[in-house]
Amino acid sequence: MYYKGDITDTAISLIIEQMEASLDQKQAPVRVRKKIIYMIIECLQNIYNYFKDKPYQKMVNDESCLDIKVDAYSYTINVSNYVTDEGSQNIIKKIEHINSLTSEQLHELYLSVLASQQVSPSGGAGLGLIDIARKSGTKLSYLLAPNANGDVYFTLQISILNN
Amino acid sequence: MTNLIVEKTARTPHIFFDSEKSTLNVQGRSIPENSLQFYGVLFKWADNFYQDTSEHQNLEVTFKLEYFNTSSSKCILDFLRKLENLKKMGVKVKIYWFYDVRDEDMQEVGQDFKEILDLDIELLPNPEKH
Repeated sequence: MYYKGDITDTAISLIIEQMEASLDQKQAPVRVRKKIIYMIIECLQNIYNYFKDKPYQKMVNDESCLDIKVDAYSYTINVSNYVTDEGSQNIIKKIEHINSLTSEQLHELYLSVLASQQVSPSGGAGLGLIDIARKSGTKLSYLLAPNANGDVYFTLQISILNN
Repeated sequence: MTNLIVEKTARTPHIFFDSEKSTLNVQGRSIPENSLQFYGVLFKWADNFYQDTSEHQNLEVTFKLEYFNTSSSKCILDFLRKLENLKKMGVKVKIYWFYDVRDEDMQEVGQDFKEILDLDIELLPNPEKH
């Protein structure tokens, strides 16, 4: 599946609907299907929340992208969107910290953030990347492509094993 | 207390409180954009229950969720904390957390809530297929 464009509420609903139909058609195992749908929801709502209070950035939201590939071993989800340079540095710090943890340490971090953090008015709970890493069971990857305006086209890559 | 019914949508679960049986059911998907706004209904309901209830009353709460986003998981935890307060008041609170046997993540979340909260939470495999 490939989508490029503005991440709106309607777009998220359509993408979920189409992905569910595609996973049904491929007869993906239920555990894989649920993980993929979960990751898509979490990533797209994160982009939606990032841009919703920044209407002047609609042009760059139009460049947001979801690309899902499947091979015999895994599903790979690439989610891309423009962020500020500072924003990209914050995400990288979080990803590198998460990737440095063992699965037990990641579980402890998840529990401590779940138990302590409040849901922000914008809808974030500070749990997204932690929970994505936990549920994928693999290390998170990322790509950066700075543009001339000083923003960064950030791609988060998530792998979900097929078995 | 009166019954509470919130119809399900493509993004939010069906909620039903049966005041006669003192049972609350939450069933479906929970992936709203604004979880705080959606779960505000349940927070308010729990506060009213807190005000109207008497000691030794029973309350059974059943969760049968298909998917939920992380902001929902945080709101569900906050709701369960309110039920912890009811327990401290003397209400006998029992939580049933159903999961699809093929979905270890949903089982694990129920287990996490058990670890964090001082509540009687029973994890049960859901015979219904999602």
